[in-house]
Amino acid sequence: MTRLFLKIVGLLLLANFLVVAGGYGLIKWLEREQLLISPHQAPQILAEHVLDAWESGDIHHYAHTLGEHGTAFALLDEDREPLFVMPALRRFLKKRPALLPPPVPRHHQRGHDHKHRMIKRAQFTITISNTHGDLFYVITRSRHPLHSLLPQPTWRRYVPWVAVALTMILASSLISFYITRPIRSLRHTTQSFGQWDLSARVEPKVAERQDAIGELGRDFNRMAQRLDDTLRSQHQLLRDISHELRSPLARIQVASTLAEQKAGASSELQRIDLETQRLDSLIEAILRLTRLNDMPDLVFESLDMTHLIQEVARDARYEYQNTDKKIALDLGMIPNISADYEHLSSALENIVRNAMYYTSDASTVHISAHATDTRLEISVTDAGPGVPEEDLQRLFEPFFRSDTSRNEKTGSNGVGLAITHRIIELHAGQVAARNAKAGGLIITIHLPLLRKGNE
Amino acid sequence: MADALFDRLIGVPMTQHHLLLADDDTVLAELLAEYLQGEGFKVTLVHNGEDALAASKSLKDMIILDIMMPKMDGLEVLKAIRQHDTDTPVIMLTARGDDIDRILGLELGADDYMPKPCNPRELLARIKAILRRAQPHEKVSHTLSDQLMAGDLHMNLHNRQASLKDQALVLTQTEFDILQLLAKSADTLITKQTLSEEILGRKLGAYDRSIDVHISNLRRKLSDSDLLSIQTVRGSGYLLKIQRMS
Repeated sequence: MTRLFLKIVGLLLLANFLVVAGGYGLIKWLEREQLLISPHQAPQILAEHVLDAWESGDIHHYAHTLGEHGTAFALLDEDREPLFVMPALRRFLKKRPALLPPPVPRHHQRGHDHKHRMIKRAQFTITISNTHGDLFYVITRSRHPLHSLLPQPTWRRYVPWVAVALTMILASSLISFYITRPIRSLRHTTQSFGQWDLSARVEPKVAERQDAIGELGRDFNRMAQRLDDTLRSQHQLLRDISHELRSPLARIQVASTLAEQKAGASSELQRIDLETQRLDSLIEAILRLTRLNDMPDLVFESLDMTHLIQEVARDARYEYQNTDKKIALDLGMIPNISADYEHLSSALENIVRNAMYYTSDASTVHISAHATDTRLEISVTDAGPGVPEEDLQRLFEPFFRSDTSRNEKTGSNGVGLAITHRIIELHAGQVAARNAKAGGLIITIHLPLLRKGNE
Repeated sequence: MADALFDRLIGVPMTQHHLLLADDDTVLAELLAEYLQGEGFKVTLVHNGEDALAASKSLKDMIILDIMMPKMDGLEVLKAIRQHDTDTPVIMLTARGDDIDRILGLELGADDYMPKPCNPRELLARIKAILRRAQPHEKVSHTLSDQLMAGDLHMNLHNRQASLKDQALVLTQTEFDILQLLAKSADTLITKQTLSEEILGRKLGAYDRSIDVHISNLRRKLSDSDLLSIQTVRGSGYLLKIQRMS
């Protein structure tokens, strides 16, 4: 834990350093390029402009421009003889020659000049040399801070702030990326694992980290491995048991058929046949449920649910054609959904078959399906005795029997609805049971709809 | 020569069919053999893969192979048999619910499968369905109706030989029958139910992928065709599409 703590502290320090250093460096650069003019640089730059204007013969125009902004200047040569003096400074120059700086040695280079302090409100004397090495003095006086008077577009004023903000965003993103990336990776892994991808492990890059997140990753991997092993051995055990059960079952089945071949049919042999078949289908259902839990092999495709429901209903009608139990369909406009055809149709078949069995004679099982924006709702309503409220929750557990009268003749093995539940779950849907007010059981399936454009 | 062989085998009425049954569960195999003998078959019993392969070399009308066998498993035996013999029908006995074995078996050229533990009556029905299809069609029509043409495919229904673009097309019995059914009504939908009932002699079960696997085998074998393709009508069945030459 301390490692992560120290890492975060280090990162924050680094980020702060980046903000300060980056901002400082940026401002320095901007100043050097004269994209940004700081107050203490302003007289210097102004002096350079004045000198440039003098040398290019543009001095009158420049003086006029600056005068309008309330700034006055005077240009003196090496011997402190005025070359150009704006009217506002004439009096001052006559009165106070002593204020002028002492002569400066000739080797002084442009850009390294002395500045002389001002008397009140922004008065500067700047020593400056031109490219030939001639020395000049520039005296400036202004009613406003000089740097605001120099030609400078307004956006430049915001540059430091923007620079600081950008560096801060960069630094914070760095920290947050560093912290969230491994967490995102962890989350991705746990999600896959939660969706029964039992081989999902935290990626080595995260699991090998020497901090709390790395530890969490390794813990998760250990837990996943143990779960995976347990489920695998459980699955193996079930497979082995059913395989072992099947060999004698197969022999019984053949032997009874053989007995019938030799001695002719009898009700006892028929009973043996029937019971072995039930045992067989029970084993098959358990195997299916185990497989759906351990290693589901669903093939998702875009499915026309109307067609699927009609097919299931047709099969059920066919099965019950000699009775007076009926099926009524109420299907709305249903968009395609992403589903596994075989599995989903057997899931629905289990429910419909159940409903057909329990619905009372001369009654109708209603199957309805309607879509909202986000999901599809299929409900199957029978007109049977319903299920006691306290048992509704457990209806989808394997081998759960609500009451003994419900199973004797059914030939249903008590695993059908559990299989249905699991299949719907694998489709990211829900299935629930409730009693109808008028009696009878309603089983409702909710399935998520495909996003538009996915079809 | 193939014709002569065929006639000798099937042409004689009331032939006693000879089955090879390979299953390592000796007790079960003996019981099954007894049952099948009671139904009028001649049964040769073997209990491991090597013996099964050896026994398959002499002429049998059908081979019933268990997948889980010592020495050589059923799939390997099937692969070895299919290398030199595509005609003899093979039924695989698979563990119930083991879809992978089942599909592998069909892909390797088995004609059908039977989940274990099997109801002997069902096994008998499947054996009979396959043998019945292998019977020659009405002897009378030896001429035109014996020939089936679809695009660049030519099928001789009498000697059960097929050719694609004049190249011999090697098909198992079941593949031949499915292709024949599709080609007879080309460009029309044949439902999976129809295929299951006509070809395998049983109703289509919920998890029965046999037809799909046979179709995918056929697709592979027809891939050289310029004019034919088997199209899937999702949720319903298949149709053989013939592209007309322009």
